Order: sequence, then structure tokens, then C-alpha cells
Amino acid sequence: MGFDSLSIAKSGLLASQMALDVTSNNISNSNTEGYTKQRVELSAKPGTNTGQVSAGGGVDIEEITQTRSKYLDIQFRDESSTNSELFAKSDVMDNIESIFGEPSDSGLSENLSSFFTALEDMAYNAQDLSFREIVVQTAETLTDTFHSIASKLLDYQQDIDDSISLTVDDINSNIDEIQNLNDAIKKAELNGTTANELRDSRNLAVDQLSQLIDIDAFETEEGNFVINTAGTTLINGTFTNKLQAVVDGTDSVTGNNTTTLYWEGTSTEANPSSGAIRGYLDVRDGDSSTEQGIPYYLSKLNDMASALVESFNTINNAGYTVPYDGNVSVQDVDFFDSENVTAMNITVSDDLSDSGWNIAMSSIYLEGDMNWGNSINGQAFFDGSSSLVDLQEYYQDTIAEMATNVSEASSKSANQQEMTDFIEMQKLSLSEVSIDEEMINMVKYQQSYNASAKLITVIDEMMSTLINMVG
Amino acid sequence: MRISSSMMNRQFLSNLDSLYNTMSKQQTQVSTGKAFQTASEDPINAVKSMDINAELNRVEQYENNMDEAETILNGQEEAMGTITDSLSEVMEVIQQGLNSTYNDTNKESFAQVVDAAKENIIDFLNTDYGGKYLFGGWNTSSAPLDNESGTYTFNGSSIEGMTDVEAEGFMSQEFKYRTGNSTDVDVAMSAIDITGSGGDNLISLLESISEELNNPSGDNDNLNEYLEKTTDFFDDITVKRSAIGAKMSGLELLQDQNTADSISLQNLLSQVEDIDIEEALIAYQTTQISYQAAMSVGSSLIQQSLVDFIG
Repeated sequence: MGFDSLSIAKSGLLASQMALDVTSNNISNSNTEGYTKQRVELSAKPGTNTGQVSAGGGVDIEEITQTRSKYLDIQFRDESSTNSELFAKSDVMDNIESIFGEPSDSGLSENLSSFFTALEDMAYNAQDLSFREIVVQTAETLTDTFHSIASKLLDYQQDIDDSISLTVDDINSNIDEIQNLNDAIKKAELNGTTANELRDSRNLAVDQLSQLIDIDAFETEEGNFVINTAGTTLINGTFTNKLQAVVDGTDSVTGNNTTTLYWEGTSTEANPSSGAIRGYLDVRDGDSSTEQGIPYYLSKLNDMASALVESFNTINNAGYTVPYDGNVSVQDVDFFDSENVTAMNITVSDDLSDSGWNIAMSSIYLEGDMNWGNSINGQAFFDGSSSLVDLQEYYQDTIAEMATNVSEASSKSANQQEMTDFIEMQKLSLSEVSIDEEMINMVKYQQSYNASAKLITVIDEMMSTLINMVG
Repeated sequence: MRISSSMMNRQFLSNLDSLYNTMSKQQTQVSTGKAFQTASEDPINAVKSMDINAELNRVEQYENNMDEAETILNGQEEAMGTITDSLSEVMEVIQQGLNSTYNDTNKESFAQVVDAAKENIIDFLNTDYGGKYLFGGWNTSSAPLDNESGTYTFNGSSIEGMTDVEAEGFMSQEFKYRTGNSTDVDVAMSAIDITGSGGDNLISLLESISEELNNPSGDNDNLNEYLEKTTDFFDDITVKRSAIGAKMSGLELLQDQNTADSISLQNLLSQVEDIDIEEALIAYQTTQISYQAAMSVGSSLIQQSLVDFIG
């Protein structure tokens, strides 16, 4: 009998120790984000005595591996990009909805109704100035509501534009981080080992990057880590290609300054196809019924404002005002200011703010200080043919469209979230630490450690026996 | 599927979260009584509710319009009633004047009755309700009848000197209250509708009667003619009065219909907007039970691991 068993037992001790180290590391990191559960890969060492029957040479610590699926990583990142895009859109749509604030007792719809009522009440009391002043006040409240919604939309677009710049900063700092990790991993792995913890950090950074912009990440055979977005390279090993946010555009509807994305140092525009940044870009710029964003809803409001101004001015121009303070009865007085009407600047005309007598209810010229013309002209403001009826319907359609879009965006986002969660679950199911499992491993390796130690004692006794016999 | 330690926590948390969300939504529903708070929660019903609310506003407006129109018509009807009463008094005294048993002094007092009737009629034609004159046509802001140095005027034009075309212009003035999306009621009435215009107007007639009665050498032929004319006016006003009565009963029908519309719209609104409170409470309680169960199971589950059992 040789004394190979001593070195065999020693390899067992070392292996168990290493396995316990790994177990301990797993337990310690059981709550670390991005940490991937590690395993000691052991293999049986062949015996040294060639040509003879041999007991084997003990255990070899092959490597420490991570339990991670590249396939799930790719799938997760794809879903995660879409998820962030849909989430950003849904979030913005929610906010747009709350800006309109319908249904409510103080929204535009209610204000249109109050305006209606005030106009009709005035028509039956056209000879009473106080009823006319109420109409002017109600019209001012209505224009204020237009302003308030429009300015909130404008501000919100600016906020989203800021978010775009911030997202670009995030993307760039993620790119830097990944580049640094690429470098560190390359250095750490020169000796052939695997830098597990660094790789975990990199995977986490890539996961985070995938939420911001759609990416395609892979490792080349030469060991270079590459990230592409929509065909353009973001990172290749230590080479990086960053984005640059330049404020050089103007939104044609809102007039806000807007940020354009370029590849850093070039005049080539970057056009991400997914990720949070795509979501922000879409809602910032969406101006069609297929891509509904802030400009789309603002242009709807603008349409309403200009339709209101046009029809009310046409009616008011046709009628005669009531003579007051030395002014005679005239036609062609505007109800609202008619210059470049938008939801942001719609205002009651100076003539009307001056006096409610300038609401041209009468279809006949009023002589002297006569205040009792008829209300025949003003009837058009509120009767069945009134543009207000159309406006109310148009507004309801807009709200319906918006509400449908909001609920669609939110259910799309919820579905995508579920999908992403499911894949994340699968991913975590593979990679996350289970304390119970580690406990079992601990007991297992402790026992094998104990057994190896016992063997050394036995060999020690055997050697003593032998030495005593010889001595 | 392998379940890691934090997966369990995460799953537990996300389940609690979604239950909590549901509870919060149900709680808002119960406390507001409304099925949805934002349009996106139920786009179709939200827009329906906006539509119904707008229609309700209109119906309410019609109701106010009709109330006001009714008041005006009522005022006109009452005033015309008084005017016909005055006219029958006049007719009575003319008949008495024709009777030879009365002497001149008696006739003078008859003439006073006629004068009083005239003033009375003018007063009633200048009736206002809440500052609105009832017989001014388009003009509701000032008394339609006035006496400018002996000449009676309507809205500033002499009644006696008024041409038929002018009078037609005044009488065709309309003051319409909307009573529905496509219906309305005209409440404009001009005093000259009652008094007539030109030489043959009621006021001049009453003046002539009074003059005739005051005239000691009065002529029964004239009085007979005046009686006939007064009777014509009486008949004419009675006919117009019954026309207003007909308008009012038409208005009443419209009011009933409008009230019915309002009730059915409110029912519809309630169907669209309101929750069934029993159903909502039961749903809330069911969620609450799940929430409590999830918490009790979760709290006992996440506390333990194999660590607790390894000596």
C-alpha cells in the first residue's frame, strides 16, 4: 500500500473547502442584484501509477462556473427593450389623460357646456348687460381652460425632451461602464480563468442598457464582447460609439425646441427602434392617429380653438352691437381675436372684454341708445346649427380616441410586463441563489470535508502502526 | 421549475401589490360610487357619460327656458284677462249710456269708468315681470306704451300715426325660447296686437267713447258704432287670449316630455357611470379576504428556510 491516500484525502479536503467557499459566497450574495449562482465543477483525478491497478488520484477542482443561459439573456433583453418602450409610452399617455382630466366638473367639456348655457341665457335677456358680461366671463374661463391644457401639454413635451437627453446620458454612461468591464474582464481572464463577478456586473449593465435602447449583445470567438443597436455598433471590446443629444429641432405643432439624436461626432442621426428612448421619441413627436403623441393632441385642441374662433367671429360679424358710451351700433366686431389662433393664445377680443354690449345678438341696427334689438343673430351661437355642438362632439371624439389609446397603451404595457416578468423568472430560476439548496450543499460538503479529515486521521494511525512495528 | 429564495419574496410582493391595486381601485369605486375615474378605464362609457351630461345640460336649459316662457305667457294671459274685463265694463256703460233713463251726470260718471278702463288697459299693457315688459315685442327693457304730449306711442312710434306696414313689422317680431333641440315657442306680443294701430286703435276708441259720453248732445248712433267696435276688440282679444292659452297647454305637454327626457337621461347616466354598490362591496370583500390570506401564508412562508432546521 502506498500513501497516495494522504494526497487523495488532501485533495478531498481542498475540494470541500473550495465548495464551502463557493457556497458561502452564494449565500452572501443571495440578495445581490445580478449575481449568478456559482458551482464548483469537480472531476476525478486519474491515479499516478501507470500500468498497475490504481485507485485514482483524488479530486480535481476544474473550475467555478455560473449557471446562466445565454439564450434567456438574449430573450430577456429583447423583451425588456420593448417593455421599457411600452412602459414609457403608457406612462406618458396616462399623464396626457390627466392633463385633459376628463370626465370632470372643470374640464373643457364642462366649460363648453357652461358657455352654451350662458349664451342661451343671454339671448333671452339680451337687454340686460349683466347677462352679457357673464357670457364674456364664461368665454374667458373657456379660453383659460384651453390655455391651461395647451401649456401643460407644451411643458410636458419639454419634460419628455429632457428625459430624452437624460436617457442618452444614461446610455452613454452604460456604454462606458460596459467598456471598462470589457477591459477588466479581458485582463482578469488572461490566465484562462473566468472572471465570474465581473461578468455578472457586465450582464447587469447590459440588462440595464437593454431597457434604454434595443440591443443585440454577443461575444465573438476571439472573446470580444460586442453590442449592436439596429445594425450600428455601440461597443466592440474597448471600442465605443456613443450617442449625442443635440437641441437643434423645433416641433412644428408646439413650437418647442427638440432634441435630435446623433452618433457622437457625426451628423448621422441615430434612430433607435425600441427601448425607453424610442417610447419617449414617439410620444414627443407623434402627430398622427396611428402614432398619437403630444403634437397630435395639441393639434386637435388647436383645431377646436380655431374652429370656435372662426364660427363665433362669423356670427358676431354679421350682427349689430348695442350702442353704449357714445359708441354706435356696428357690425364686423370680432368675438375672439382672430390672429393666428391656437389653443395656447385664443383670447376674447378687446371689444368684448371692453363691454358685453359688443356681443352682436341683434340682426337689426340699433339707433340712439336703444338696447333692445332682437336676439335673432345671436341665436346661431347656441341653436341646433351651432358650431358649439360640433365642437362638443369633436372634443368627445378626441377624448374617446385618447382614452382608447391610453387603455390600449396600458394593456399593451401590462402584457409586455407579464411576458418580461415570465422570462425574467425563468432566468432567475436558473441563476438566483436558493438558500435551501445552499444549505443542502453546505451539509454535503461539510460531511465530505469531515470524511476526508477522518481519512487523514486513519492514515496517520496506519503510519504510526507501521513506524511502531519497524521501531 | 427551480425557485430561488428571492424569487419567492418577489412573487409574494408582486401578488400583494396587484391585490393591493385591485383593492385600491375597488375602494375608490365604492367611495365615489362611480365605476370609473378616468376615461381610459372605460373609454366607451366615459364618452357616453360626457354625451349624456351635455344632453342633460341642454334638457335643463330647455326646462329653464320653458319655465320662463310660461311665466311670460301667464303674465300676458292674465293681463289680457284684465283687459277684457275692462272692456266688458266699457261695453256695459255704453249700453247704459244708450239707455235714455240716465242723465248727463250719470253719463259723465260713465265716461270716468271708460277713462279708468283706458288707464287700466295701458297699465296692463305696460306690465313687467322681473323687469321684462310683456307687450313690447322685441323690446322687453322699457315700457312699450308711453304718452308723449298727448300722443300715445308704442316703442317710440305714434300708435295713431302708424302705417299698417310699420304695425305689421312690430307685430311680426318674434321672441323665441328654445323648448327642445328643434322646437321653440314664440312669446313676443306687441301692445299694438291688442290695441291695433292707425285711426282705429283701441286707445283712440276709448277716448272717443269717453268724449261722446261727456258730450251733452251726444249721439246714440255714434255710441252704437263704438259699442260695435268695442265688441270687436273684445272678441279679438278673447281669441288672442285663447291662442295664448293653447300655447300654454302646448308648453305644458313639452314640459312633461322634457321632464320625462331628463329622468330617462339620468337613469341612463346612472347605468353608465354608477356602480352596483352591493356587487362592488362583495367584490371588495372578496379581494380583502384574498389579501389577508396571501399575507398570512406569505408571512409564514418567507420566515422559514432550511437554516431553521439544521442543528
